[in-house]
Amino acid sequence: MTAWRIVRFFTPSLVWLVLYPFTFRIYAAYRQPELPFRWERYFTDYTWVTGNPYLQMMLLLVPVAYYLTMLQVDAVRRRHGALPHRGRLMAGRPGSRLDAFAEFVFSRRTYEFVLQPALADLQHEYFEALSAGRTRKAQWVRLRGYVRFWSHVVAQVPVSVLRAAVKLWFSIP
Amino acid sequence: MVPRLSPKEAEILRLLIANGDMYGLELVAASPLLKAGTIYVTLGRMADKGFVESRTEKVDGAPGLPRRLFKVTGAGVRMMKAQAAAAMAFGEVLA
Repeated sequence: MTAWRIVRFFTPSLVWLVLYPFTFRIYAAYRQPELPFRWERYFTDYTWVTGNPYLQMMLLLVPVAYYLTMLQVDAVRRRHGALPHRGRLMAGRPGSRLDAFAEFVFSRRTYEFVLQPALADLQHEYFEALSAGRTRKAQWVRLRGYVRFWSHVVAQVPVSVLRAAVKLWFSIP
Repeated sequence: MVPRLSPKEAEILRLLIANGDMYGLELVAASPLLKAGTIYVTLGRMADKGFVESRTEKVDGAPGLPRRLFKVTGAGVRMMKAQAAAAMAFGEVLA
């Protein structure tokens, strides 16, 4: 269980570690389109291109440091009896981070008509199961809701790309 | 360009005409043809075509995001009638 807790705590940081180089790549493509793409030189060429390698390294380390600190704070609070020894004392709404992600990444129309309703259904079913005292079902509903959300994303991306392409095509004079 | 109606879209229109306003999950529960993983993509496409319209419904005191309630438009009803008439005529031709 401890291993699972560590994985759960570090997953956002690991996701960030994977996505982080792509921010360099995008910025590098913008600043120096002629720069050849080399996977092995993410933290050299691309940090150099962005201009401030120390700042970029800080950005990389901030989420790692944050989760390490949170683990430590959690451990101290457990030692003093402020938290139960297993499980979380209070959980947020399921899908709230996905909601923020969808609002940031997708267009307003896609967010409001496709992705937000999927998350609203997830939360509605989740709280319904919790209020009925069915914790296991709530966990299952949450997992199923995440799968449904990403299915919507996968199904929506071609639609959005096609719509953008058509819009672009007809905008050319 | 004449908008087309896929089997899933026809099923959604049939359910909305029969039952009035419905949530996405209610549509999924009412028909085995519709899948929970793509229902809102289909509904969004139908909203683009003008066959359905929607509104958010926030229940006081209920936690979570507001749910979206869908209803069929006049264009949707006309499209459904046209498709039914076309299917009937096509059946007569084949018979």
